[in-house]
Amino acid sequence: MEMLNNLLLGFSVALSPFNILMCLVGVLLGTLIGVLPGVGPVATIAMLLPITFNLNPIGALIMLAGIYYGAQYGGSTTAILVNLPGESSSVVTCIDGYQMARRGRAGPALATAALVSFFAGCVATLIVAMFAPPLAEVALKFGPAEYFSLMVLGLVAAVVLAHGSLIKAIAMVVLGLLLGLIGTDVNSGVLRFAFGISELADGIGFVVVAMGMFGIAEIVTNLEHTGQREVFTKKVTHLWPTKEDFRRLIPAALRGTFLGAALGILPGGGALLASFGAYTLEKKVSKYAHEFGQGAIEGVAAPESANNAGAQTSFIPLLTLGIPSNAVMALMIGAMMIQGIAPGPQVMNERPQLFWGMIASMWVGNLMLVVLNLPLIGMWIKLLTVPYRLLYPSILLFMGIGVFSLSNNPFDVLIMAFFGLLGYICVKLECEPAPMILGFILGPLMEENLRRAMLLSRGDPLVFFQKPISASFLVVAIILLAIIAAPNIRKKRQEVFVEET
Amino acid sequence: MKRALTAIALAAAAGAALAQGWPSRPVRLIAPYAAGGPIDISARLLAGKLQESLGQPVVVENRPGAGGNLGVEMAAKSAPDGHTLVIGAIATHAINPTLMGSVPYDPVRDFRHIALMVQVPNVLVVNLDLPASSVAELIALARARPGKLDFASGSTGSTGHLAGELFKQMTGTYMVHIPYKGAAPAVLDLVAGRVHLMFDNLASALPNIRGGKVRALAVTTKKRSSFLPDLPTLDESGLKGFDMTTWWGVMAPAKTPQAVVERLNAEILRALEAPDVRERLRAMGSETPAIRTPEEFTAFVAAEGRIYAELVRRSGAKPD
Amino acid sequence: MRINSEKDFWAGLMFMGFGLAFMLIAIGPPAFLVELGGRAGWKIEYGYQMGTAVRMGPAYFPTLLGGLLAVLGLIVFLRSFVSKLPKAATEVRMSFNVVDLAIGIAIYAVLAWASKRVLGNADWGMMGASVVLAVLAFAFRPKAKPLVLVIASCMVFAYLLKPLGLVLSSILLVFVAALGGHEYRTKEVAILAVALAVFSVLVFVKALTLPFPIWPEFLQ
Repeated sequence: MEMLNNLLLGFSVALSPFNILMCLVGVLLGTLIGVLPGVGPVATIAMLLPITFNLNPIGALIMLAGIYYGAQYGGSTTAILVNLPGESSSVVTCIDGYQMARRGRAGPALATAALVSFFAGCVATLIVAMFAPPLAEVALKFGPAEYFSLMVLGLVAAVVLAHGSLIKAIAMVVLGLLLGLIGTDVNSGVLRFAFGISELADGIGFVVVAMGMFGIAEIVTNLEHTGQREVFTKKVTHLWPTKEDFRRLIPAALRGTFLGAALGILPGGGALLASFGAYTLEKKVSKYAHEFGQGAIEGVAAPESANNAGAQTSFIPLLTLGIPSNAVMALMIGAMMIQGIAPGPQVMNERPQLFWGMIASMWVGNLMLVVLNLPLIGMWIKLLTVPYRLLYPSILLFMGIGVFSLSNNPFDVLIMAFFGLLGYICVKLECEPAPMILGFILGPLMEENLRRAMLLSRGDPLVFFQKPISASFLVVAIILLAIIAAPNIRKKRQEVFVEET
Repeated sequence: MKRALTAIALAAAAGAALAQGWPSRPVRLIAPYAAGGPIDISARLLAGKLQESLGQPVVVENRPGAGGNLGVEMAAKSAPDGHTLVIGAIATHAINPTLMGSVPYDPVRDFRHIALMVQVPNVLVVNLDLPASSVAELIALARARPGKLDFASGSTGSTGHLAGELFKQMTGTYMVHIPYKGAAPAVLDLVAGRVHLMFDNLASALPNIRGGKVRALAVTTKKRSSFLPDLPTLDESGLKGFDMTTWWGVMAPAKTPQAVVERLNAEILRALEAPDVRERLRAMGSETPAIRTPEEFTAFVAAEGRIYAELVRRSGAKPD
Repeated sequence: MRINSEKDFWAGLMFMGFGLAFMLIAIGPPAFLVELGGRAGWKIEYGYQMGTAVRMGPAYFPTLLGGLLAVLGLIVFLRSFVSKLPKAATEVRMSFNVVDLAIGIAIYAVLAWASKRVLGNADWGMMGASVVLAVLAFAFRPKAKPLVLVIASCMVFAYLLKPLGLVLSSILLVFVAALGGHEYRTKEVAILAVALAVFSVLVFVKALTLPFPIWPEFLQ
């Protein structure tokens, strides 16, 4: 079978001593920056680009890829331990992961994250190996109308993430959408909502908002409740998930993996939707839906498997079409161009060692990461026992450094402080930050696709229903909205006293 | 009069003295675009080589924003001691000043234009299913179907966009402009057939042309590209005088001493000729620019500014 | 009318405020406000083009969303009067009130504007405002200490990083942040500050080659 030959070729490349070393360096570095709040893979890869000039191209790309998915692993660590999402994909993990940590179950949470990520990585690598070219064709079928409808569906899913008041969650999503629009408008070039501040011309970065709303708000609220910090240092039970845990997380991981793999292929931001799509799906089908938001293990397994699967499959548009799915992929294209490799459809045929070597090394990298991260869990747990008064200044410092390093501008830190204040107020008013962040990420993308679809259809709004893929997304979104709204209305009438946690 | 002369003499002496000791600390090369893009990559390539010859680290600082204006403005306002350089591009120095109404710097007077690094042509590429295999056929098609053809570009005000507008003007056709965030998603839609044509830059178009995913009709420069020698130019195809490239080069704040400028010019040109740098720049579709001296570069920037000011105004390529 | 749910009351107001603000900026303020602003020396943005449904202008989507947000905010606001939840669950326990917030914003605005006028950029003004607010918090609103000091520590760090270098600004951040906590022990904080500064230099500047100055400018 040809695929077997290809995989053998790939492994022979990936397992060469130099490439193994590159992979190790990459995942180590990736984990480190994933764990440090604020510093992300984009900044790191950009800085390391010059070093890759002098390296063998395959090795260089293996290292950079390792940094990317290594950062995913690291990002879930901080999401679980301190409620700080390192990447947009870890936002969802914060919800249940952090709650699990608060209840002394940080160990199982971290182990779950590592294990399901590995599983998802393996499966996704296999999918990439088997289906890369036909999947690329699917990616081509997604035009602006399809993306817009997918994002509408994604936003409806974001509302499901909330476990409090439905209306306030929707309002937070809309607020996020609006805040995401700050900056230069793609279609017209007009600078919106920026009050002439040129630093805002490219909008507000995700990292800045996340650090502010999650990081600063969390630290301040923790400082205000002195006594309750002891929850963390309370007896930390097993470091490993129980049998019961495994029984619950396996189906969640399976669903998450396939959903994530599917969404990761879409170049226009599909991988973002992977984690919260998986979370929503899980919440809807799980028997333990009531536990979601309080530390349900499925709430960690589903998004983590989805985002890792999505991370692997997002290499497909890069390697087959030469289209970057996100900022990191754009950097990878840069790295390839430096090496004189023109990314595009011919890479697979002209440079099979590169293509299959990278795919095989993704598996190797995932293996390294799980081997690396599992023993570290003990260390992370110890970290939680550090008195908070020593922990939080450290977190603040790393956040400050990370945010500052984004564009070497103190202005970003100012914005982070603003979002810190906003986050604090929102927490006090019981408005949840997670839906807002997701709206923030999707807002500009949605508008861009909406306008482009309308432009291409010359103003015909029915185009969203005329295209089959787009129509199906919208229909699912409407159904989902109905499902969410109905029980809420019923619940309001019955359990008026116990609506909010 | 004597005072003025003394001042000039002192300044020159100071300039020379400065140049002697220059560089005395790490040099900042501001890349006003996001990391990973062609401008950023070429900046890093150059920085690596310059480090060796200057003896001090040359650090690339990404300052993306406002189409490049942010980084450029920062550089214009920096101390002119030769330790701050910036990559100025056609966007920041020729197009944006008119497109955005005003920019917080003067592209000619606030800078010393040290060396032109890269000049890349754009290529007119069409979707394979479009029934046009030459520029003439395309023009006929566009005239037969006014308003029905869509042309994509990487952003409003990019050379791809303006090339399209100029094309429309010179041929008297009406096509709808569809802006994207970057060349990559635009190319994706072009290949998929959601848009019909694009004036893509050579670096991004070459792999797709070679891979048979799109059909190339012409280049936007007056001279044929050495990468696609069989491809006619738009000038040859009936649009007389059509000559557009995307370019960028190294600049410094206006009052940077002459001695520093001259030394930098020499070093940069030498770095650009190093085989590995040249190789990689060629991979981007760039040919070695004909413009070598700072004076030529300044004249070039001024000329481009005038051309694009006129073009932007005529095409009405302004915010919706 | 009694406010049954304080949280919803303020949340509703917040949403309405944001929604209307975005709408107003997108559509553009009414003519008389622009004139007033013009006389006070402000250049008020005129608003963006609406465009049509075919060619949506930059104002289209924001206006739509802003309106939606305002409506949602109104619903939440009205709901706060009829909520049947227990008082304890809906009380807002913030360390400061609306007036404090307004004063805080005013201080920032004034100092930033003044610093821009005098020095050309707003940086020192922003930092100064943080310090002023920190002092005020200590004096008048001790419960707001964590919020104000955590934010102040970030501002101090950010604006002093270039002039003072990584080591000094990190140490400052740690001290200011620690002041916002409950158990402040000078010696402990000092050790932590130095340790973190060293760690940061090693990891961020040496290992990750981030372009931060380590020492102050005047020592270069």
